Amino acid sequence: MPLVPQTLAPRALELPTAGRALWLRADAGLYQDAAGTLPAAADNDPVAHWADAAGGPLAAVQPGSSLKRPRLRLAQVAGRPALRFDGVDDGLLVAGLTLSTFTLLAVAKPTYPGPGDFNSRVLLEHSATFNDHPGHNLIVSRDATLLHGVRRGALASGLTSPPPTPLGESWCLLVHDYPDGTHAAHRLYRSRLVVPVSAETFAGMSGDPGASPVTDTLHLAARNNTSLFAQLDLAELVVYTPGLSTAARVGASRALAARYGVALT
Amino acid sequence: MSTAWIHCYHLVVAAADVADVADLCAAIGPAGLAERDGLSLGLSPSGQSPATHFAASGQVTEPMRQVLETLADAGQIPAGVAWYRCDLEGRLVRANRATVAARIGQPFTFDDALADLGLQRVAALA
Repeated sequence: MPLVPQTLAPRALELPTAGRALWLRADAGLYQDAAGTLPAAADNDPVAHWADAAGGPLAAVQPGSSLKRPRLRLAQVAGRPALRFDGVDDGLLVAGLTLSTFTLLAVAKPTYPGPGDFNSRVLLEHSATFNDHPGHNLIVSRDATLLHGVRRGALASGLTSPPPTPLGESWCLLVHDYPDGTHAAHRLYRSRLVVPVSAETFAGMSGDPGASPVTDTLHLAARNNTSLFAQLDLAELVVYTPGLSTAARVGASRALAARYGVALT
Repeated sequence: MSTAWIHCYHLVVAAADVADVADLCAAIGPAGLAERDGLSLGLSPSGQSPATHFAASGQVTEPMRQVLETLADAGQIPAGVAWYRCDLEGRLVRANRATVAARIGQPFTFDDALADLGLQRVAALA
């Protein structure tokens, strides 16, 4: 029997579905009102409701003033849209997100030019209010820093050392990995698959979700301790709990990087 | 299709006038949103508490702009309100502050408004 030549199609890169607790994409599920009834589709439309792209029950919403809504910007990265947070008072929150261990991936472009320390802007915050950050923080500024940590007491507590290389105002893949419920395994990756930009160096901190599930609020673009809100563009965010395996994390990173044309190292 | 939210305002209000302006925002803002919650960013000359002013920044529609500026032109908004209207590219279009008249048509950020007024954000945490 003759052999029939076959063409091997490249395997599509897809995000894992198992354990996906939240999936936000700026090309789907956007509404101008918090109730999610008036679609946001045009360039510069304000967004008060960002529904889960897979139809999940959670959504990121702005329950307050219309002035606090980020706005939709079309064709920002690889032809895809993003939400723009103004750095003054824009923010969205996801209530009722239950996390134990977790892996959070985001495609973002930080645009704030400020310093890279705890007074830089909070990109993502796992805590009860916009105005405090006792839980997990993912902190980013354009010039220097991508940090994560847990705040308890003194402002600097629980933060990792900033990486030496400036982040720059560019689209990147941020991965916040908390795979086993301990600080020792806390890792943060910026457009990298294997080598984290920082590793948790503080011991004995409280405030982690831990291995047991905790229901909390995740803030997208929260206020830091000096009343600065995150200033960034955010194209996609996905949260898994429990945290992804190494293989699954690498796969998810490659899928997002391919979708947005982000180079991984 | 262009958005209806075509104007961007930086709004700074003296603390004594916040309640009145919050009422005004609630009256002209879209239904179903907590407009009274808008002026939540505290400011003061030193950056220390207590806040002497409160601020917001965000988009409004043309009908909202007409109401706001018609009232302003008629002297019917509190004297402690400073407003700066920008286009969606961030260029200053109009303001009720003579100190920024020369900057019409130029990029103008919220931090520029704070500099014009000599105010700083009040730290949220000690």
